[in-house]
Amino acid sequence: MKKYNICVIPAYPLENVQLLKDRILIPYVCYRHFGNSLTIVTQKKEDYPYLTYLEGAQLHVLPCSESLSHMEAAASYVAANYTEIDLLFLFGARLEYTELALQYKALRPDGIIYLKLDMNSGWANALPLDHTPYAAFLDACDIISCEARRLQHLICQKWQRTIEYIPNGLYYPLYPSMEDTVYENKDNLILTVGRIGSVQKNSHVLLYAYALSYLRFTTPWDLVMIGSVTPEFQEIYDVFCREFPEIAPHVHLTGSISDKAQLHAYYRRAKIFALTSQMEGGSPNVYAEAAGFGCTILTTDIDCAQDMTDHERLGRIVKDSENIPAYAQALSALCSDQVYLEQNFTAIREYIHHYFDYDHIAERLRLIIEDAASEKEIL
Amino acid sequence: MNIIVNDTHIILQTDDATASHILLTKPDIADYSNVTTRPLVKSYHLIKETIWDRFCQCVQDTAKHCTDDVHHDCYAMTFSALYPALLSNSQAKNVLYYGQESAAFFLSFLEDFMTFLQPDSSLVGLSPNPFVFSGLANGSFHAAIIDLDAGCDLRTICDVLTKIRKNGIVVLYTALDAPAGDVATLLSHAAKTVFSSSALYVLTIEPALCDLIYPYSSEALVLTYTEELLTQIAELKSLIQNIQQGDCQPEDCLYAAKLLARTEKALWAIYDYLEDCRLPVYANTLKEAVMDYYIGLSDKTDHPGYSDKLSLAAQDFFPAIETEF
Repeated sequence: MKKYNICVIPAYPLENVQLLKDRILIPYVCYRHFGNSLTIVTQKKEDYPYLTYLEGAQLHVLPCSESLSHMEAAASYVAANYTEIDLLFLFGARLEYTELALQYKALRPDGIIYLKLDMNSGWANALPLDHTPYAAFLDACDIISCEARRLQHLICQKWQRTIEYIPNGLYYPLYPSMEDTVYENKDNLILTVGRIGSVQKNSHVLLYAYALSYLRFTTPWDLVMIGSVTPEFQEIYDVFCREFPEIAPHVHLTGSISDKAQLHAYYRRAKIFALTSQMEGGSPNVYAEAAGFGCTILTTDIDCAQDMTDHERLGRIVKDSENIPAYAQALSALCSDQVYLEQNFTAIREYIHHYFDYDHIAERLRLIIEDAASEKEIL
Repeated sequence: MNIIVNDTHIILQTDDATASHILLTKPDIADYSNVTTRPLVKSYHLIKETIWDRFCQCVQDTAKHCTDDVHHDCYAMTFSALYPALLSNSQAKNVLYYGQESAAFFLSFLEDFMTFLQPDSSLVGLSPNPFVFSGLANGSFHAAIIDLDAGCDLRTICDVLTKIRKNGIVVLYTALDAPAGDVATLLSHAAKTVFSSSALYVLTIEPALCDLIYPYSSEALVLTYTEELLTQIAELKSLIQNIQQGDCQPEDCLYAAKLLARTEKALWAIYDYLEDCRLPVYANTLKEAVMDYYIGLSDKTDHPGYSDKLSLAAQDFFPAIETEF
């Protein structure tokens, strides 16, 4: 089996939290399975304490300045180090990558470029496919993957080429408390994790749907919203507290939690994981985490909703992301169905383990990459 | 470029007058007022303008409106090349154009000349997309014009050629470097005219040429791919059945995944001709299911979900293939 020197270059300087998301985790797990080395190339934006989770990965900090942008410096890096890059991992179908990808291809025609799209259908419809350099960039990519089946069908038909389905999943070694999670230790807790109040996350829908559901609860349920809170949402929340003083104590805004053990403790306690997003780039990383801890998923109809719930076998989908009563209806129905939640605890964990485990996904990627490499040898 | 018209000739001349090329010599035919070989045409008498006059006017108008177009010499030479074909008999003519939008002025003047000769003649301009030919009947056009600089490959050119009638002509032009590879080989069968940096090739559709080009046309390609595909799919079906029955080695799964990757590529190659455009994705999903099954076998997590997924993907793929072919 060939061992690859893998290089990841994000389109923008990397943030610490992104080290434990798909953009780095997938190449990292590939490195663990069939890599000789993994180099993460970025302009330094902040400290990277999460790097300690990625044993063996090397960080190359680009010497950026006012006159040398992240991507220009990355192109120079590729020019100087292309012999040491067998597999170039790019994240996002971004125009910024054009020069870099073509340069690498010219220097290393035998090298493999893997582009993970991190895209939603709205974005897929807005890409400048008739822009020649952009089309050349996509052509230069040997493997392209997207994160949702619905998107795969859409993009395949638009681009007329193979698009692999590689969902965002879980790297189990990062979740030591996941395996011994048991349903009996769970509370009547509805959880959401994300940038609370961002337009995309549509958090107000969850807040008010919870209030509507609250009236129907036969047993008490709490709502925990984890993540940084926008000023706009803080205002909404303050108004909510004044409007519903009885409900407000059951809604908890924790702010951002960077301590993984503390975050996982919430997942272990939650029975329901709620998503109200209007759209997501790819599929939300938090979905796989929540499912891994046995939370039943309630989501709006984002591109990956069918995949997340296995066509609603393992959760529920609310079609209209702005329909608060419909979301409340689905939420209260789930909360009142403890039998389903308990059965689903095991079912969704099995599902996630078999189809969203990065160890499994990396093995599939190995087969795909080997196929692309052998095709190049034939040519 | 200058167009010089005198009583007997239309001449193409470079701006510095160092090179010239006779586009057309006025036909010397007594019966038709020394105008043309063309039989009597009503409009000629009605508007009292000779074909020669109109032709000169159209070539000059093209030159005037296309001065900044790199293909202006090509347009003038194309007029000249088409002239005998358009006047060969009194039938209305269908002419196909495959090239760039920048040729709009040239096309409008060419159409003007064609409809002057025969009001029912038509000029069909196609956007540069190789698939556009799939909707056209073979042998349905009298002539075609191809802009080689619009990114034509051999298959596209052969597709155009299959649409042209026996004894029809295909005019191909370029203002860039001479085409290389397969296209150059095909063009070696053409009559070539060079002026300045432009080159014009004229192919006449004859049986020998048809035999030569057919294997490279989309129709032949689709038939070849279909034949290969069906052989592959028969093999795949048997492999997948064995895998589903647990009667397989891990290597069989890998081989099935490779076959599916090949099948997927073959389906993309004929994608524009498929009735069910989901077929390549079905092939991909089945490939994914086979890979999952293989990984399950390898790491001993042989989960029933993998074989269920394989069955579902096979249920989508094989019936769809059978319906398609």
